[in-house]
Amino acid sequence: MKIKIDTIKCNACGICEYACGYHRDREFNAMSSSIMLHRVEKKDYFGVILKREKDIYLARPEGPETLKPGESAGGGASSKPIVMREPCDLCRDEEFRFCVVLCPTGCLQVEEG
Amino acid sequence: MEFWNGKALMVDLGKGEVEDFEIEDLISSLKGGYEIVVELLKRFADAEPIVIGTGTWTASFFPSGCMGFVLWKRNGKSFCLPLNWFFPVEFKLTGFDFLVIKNSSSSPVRLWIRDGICDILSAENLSNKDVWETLDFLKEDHGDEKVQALVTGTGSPSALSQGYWGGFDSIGAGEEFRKKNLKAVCVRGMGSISISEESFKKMLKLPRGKEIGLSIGEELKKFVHRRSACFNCGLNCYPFFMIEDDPKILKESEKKEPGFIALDPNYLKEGNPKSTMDMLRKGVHPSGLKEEEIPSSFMEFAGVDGAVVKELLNYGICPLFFRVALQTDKSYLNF
Repeated sequence: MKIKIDTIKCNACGICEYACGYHRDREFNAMSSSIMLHRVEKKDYFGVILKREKDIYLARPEGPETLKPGESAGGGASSKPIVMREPCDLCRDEEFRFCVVLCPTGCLQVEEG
Repeated sequence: MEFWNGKALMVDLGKGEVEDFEIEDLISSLKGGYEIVVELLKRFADAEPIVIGTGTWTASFFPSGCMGFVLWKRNGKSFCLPLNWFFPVEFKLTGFDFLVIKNSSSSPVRLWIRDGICDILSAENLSNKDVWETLDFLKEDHGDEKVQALVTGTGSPSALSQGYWGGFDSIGAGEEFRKKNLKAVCVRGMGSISISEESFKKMLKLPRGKEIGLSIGEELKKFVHRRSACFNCGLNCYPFFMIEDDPKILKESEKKEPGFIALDPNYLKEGNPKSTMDMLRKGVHPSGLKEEEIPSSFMEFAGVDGAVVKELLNYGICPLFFRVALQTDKSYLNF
């Protein structure tokens, strides 16, 4: 099972970061989230970055890219870079995948297999 | 304290001083953000305050919990500018629920609020900069693209802009900022808000909204790029108009300023994208300055009256979402 990201459906609402944060900390907080919204607001460029067990998945609108440890995709500064975060554990021990349930557009889905 | 920080920030621009104070008594005795700000305005009336407020579910899992507002008095009358997009959420996550700005500074300043602290910084270098130039500077200076700001530009009458994309200020909030010599309030929220498991589970079950088709003039349709929403909302109210690049582009545009979003659809009425971009840059509202308590353009956008706007600002949820996705069902508010 994994999180499937259809980036074109994303509307940059940002709730996925806080959904993941709630799984980690039981608070409304995005600092420990495994998922990040990357946005260059002035250019309307946005997508989702997901830290996984063995890589970082960049769900860019022009097509996805996967980064292995130590690779960089450039991009802007962040208060807590994705490499410093825990990987997605698919909401282990939770009833739902929080980011999937809270995403209002269906951009995030669970893919079996 | 669930849903709140329990603290307000107070900035005295006349003295150059910053302090915070507990507001748990107000939170427990009043209905929500709007009522609390009305009380704060009364409490500090001598200092001609502008108060920026959030609601109970601003920065929560309640869908459309993105709202905040600016409240002030002019000639004894109250004015209320609703804020949507991302500023209110980012502000509440700095550790404060409300911001009281008292008196005026003798020189141009900006506020930089994050991690439970606030700096009053010089804005001499920004005095002649428009909204977009100011935002670019603030994001660069604070080193984070997620910084949000309320900004004034170079236009007259000055409208208060919510980041790059304007807003509903046809009632003079920008002019109040100017009177205080306040160029911008800039925030980055990296804090936490307490939400119980019980509340979280209830919020998971709420409708999340579907894209609504706000009307766009024929001449603008060909420029539509992707649609965005305010924080935690599925209505996707806001198309980006890609003017200087191919609207079908998916990779990051190489143009510095390829287009715009207009948070208030009134900016689009002329159907002239260059003119809209110019207004957004300068920080003027297409309606000029009106003597209205709540901007009529916001009420038209949301399709509700002023009483409903005030009621929902207590909660920090979007009146348009309440009407469209929650079908004005108040039982959703009895949490």
